Amino acid sequence: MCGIAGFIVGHQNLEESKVKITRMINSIEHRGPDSTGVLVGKNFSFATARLSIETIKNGDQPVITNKSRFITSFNGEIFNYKNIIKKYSFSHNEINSEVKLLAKLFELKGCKFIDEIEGQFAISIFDNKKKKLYLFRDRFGIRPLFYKKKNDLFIYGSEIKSIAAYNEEVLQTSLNSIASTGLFWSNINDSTSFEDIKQLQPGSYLVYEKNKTEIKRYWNNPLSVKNKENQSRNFIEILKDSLKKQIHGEVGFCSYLSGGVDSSAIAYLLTEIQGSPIDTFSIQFENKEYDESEAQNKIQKIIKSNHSSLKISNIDIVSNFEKVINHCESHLFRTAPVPMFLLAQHVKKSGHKVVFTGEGADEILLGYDIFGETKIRKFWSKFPESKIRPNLLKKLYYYLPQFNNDRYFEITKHFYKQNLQNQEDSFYSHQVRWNQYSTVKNFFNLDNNNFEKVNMKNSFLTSLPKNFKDLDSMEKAQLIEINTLLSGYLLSSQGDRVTMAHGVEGRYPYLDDSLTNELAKISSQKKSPGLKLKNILRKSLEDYLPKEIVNRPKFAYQAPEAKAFFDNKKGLSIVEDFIDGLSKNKKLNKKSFISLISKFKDPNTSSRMGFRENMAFVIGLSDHFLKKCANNWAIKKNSQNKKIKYEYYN
Amino acid sequence: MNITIEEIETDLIQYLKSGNPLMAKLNEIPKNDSLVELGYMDSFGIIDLVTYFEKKWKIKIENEEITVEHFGSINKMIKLINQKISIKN
Repeated sequence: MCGIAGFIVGHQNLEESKVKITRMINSIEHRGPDSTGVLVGKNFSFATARLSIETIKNGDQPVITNKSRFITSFNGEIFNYKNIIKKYSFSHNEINSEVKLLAKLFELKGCKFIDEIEGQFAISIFDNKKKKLYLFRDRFGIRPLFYKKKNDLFIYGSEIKSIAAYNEEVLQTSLNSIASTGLFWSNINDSTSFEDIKQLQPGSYLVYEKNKTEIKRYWNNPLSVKNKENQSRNFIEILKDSLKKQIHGEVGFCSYLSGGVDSSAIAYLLTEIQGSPIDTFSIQFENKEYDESEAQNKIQKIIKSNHSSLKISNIDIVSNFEKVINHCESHLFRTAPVPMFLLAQHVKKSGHKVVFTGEGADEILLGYDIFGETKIRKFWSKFPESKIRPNLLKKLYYYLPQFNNDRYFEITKHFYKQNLQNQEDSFYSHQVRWNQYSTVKNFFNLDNNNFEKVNMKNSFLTSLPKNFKDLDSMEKAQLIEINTLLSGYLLSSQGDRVTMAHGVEGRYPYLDDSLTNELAKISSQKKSPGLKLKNILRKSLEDYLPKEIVNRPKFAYQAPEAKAFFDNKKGLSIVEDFIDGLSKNKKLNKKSFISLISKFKDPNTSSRMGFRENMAFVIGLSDHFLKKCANNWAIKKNSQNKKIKYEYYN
Repeated sequence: MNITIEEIETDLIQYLKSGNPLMAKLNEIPKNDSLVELGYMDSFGIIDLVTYFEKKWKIKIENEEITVEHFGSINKMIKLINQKISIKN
């Protein structure tokens, strides 16, 4: 696992190129603390900061192949690389690392090589003969890749700060990103939280030639392909295959253990595969509202793992918020990435470089409440006056206070009844959730027509498969989740960015290419019959783990939000600093924020602040820190690095 | 105890402004539109209001009264409170 960076430019002398590429790779050194390789040319340079996981000795990058024609560097893991070597009978002496395999396969097959690669990756290949640059990103967007194009300059990097480092430029945060985070909870399509910086979308590749950029999608989520089978293998067998494939590398592994069924299944199977207890890690909260330690202890006792948990307090959240923003490089709608950042640090300190996580299971196996909500609303819509049908909502949202008390059910029901009949809407599943935007929007200066909900939804629709409208309501909801929250937030702000901050690599067995292909063939009905969410996983686990673990209802991972900033000195000083910055921040509505902060400060009104107010606060505060970070990225830094191995290309 | 509609209204608006950051900055609060549909409030907000009314006006709001018909706008809420207070007296 690594960080990569590079550029192509019209005219530049060798020394200037060297300074710039050094600055770029230095800025993301945390991603690859083990070794750094830089290739300097006049009109282009490429660099890799490497975290050694596999082929530790032979994996130096970038590699130059085919008589200096191709320059290849990459960040990630290719899980099927041994199979590919076998398939093409490549010589083990010649192809002794993943990066060399990628170079070789590209020479052989051109861009089509990507269809054979399974894994999590961002790949850069430069063809110096044709002066063409190719960038590839994995199917779900586990590994990041950003770029910027201006006139005859093209810059890319694993993190946005490496692009800023090229010219020591102060990047501007994007108003569009604030709107998008308020509505979808993430950036969408190729946009990022900074003006002029784009991300290569998951499952796509980019070709840059003669100042022109072309982007092609090489993969469509198999969910959008209609070809359902009724018979399939036992899910546990499928998951086990995926785990075996992903136990890849020479540095060992460990697992997160949240207490939920997804990570319990992983930790259990990893223990079985290894044949001895594994190391597991979890977050606990001082605040019992969010804490899952009881469930974690239950599964730990069964698998007898060497378990280590990290207790998180409000002070931890506020003290690390800025650092986390610096790594996430994104507007955030909740503080949940902070505990994940601290947990990865804890994993690193314990001597691990690779950690398995259950991320992706809820999207692939239909685990989220929103899938249940969609089913209930559809069922209810057939008989909207029914008194009984909406009662199912109580079963789904048993943990929310407004459902706990029968007294409020009539009015709460009304919120879910809005647009009940409007099933023609492509985003039927997300109608209720996205209503929050009407409140959140008022905290920001989003009067422009572009930020009307309907226009934003239309723009999102363009990134979805052409046959999206023909999919069933569950598949639609799944693709929406995958294209917004999963790739835009969970895999980045709660995933790659916070683990790589400490040089730790996440593994995502539920997002394995073979597993997702196999799962896509199974009908939604079979995955989750009725309201039995994630039934296919639960059912197949019943033979191995106790029912209380297997059938534990979903407990959404949450962390303390705005209130964490109002019950301690450190938090309050951050809030003061935020208020000071409001006059200079044209994106935030000063009056609304001043008012919001006074409500949070006043004990009589702080408990009246709901989900939407908390979300507005976190988005606003993240913009404040993003601006600070962008200023820091542009500060002149020492461009020396003794660790770097330079090569020159004349 | 004689409480006028104006008193109920003033108190309600004052309460909304004190606790709702978006309404606090409004010069005029719309009285005939749904606060939910205008984006000022979600279901938590309604629960908060019910609790407040019962305490403030010492009235009892029945389960079947907590509906859009009675909470769909400021004027509807005032009407409900006013009815309850007059019955009590």
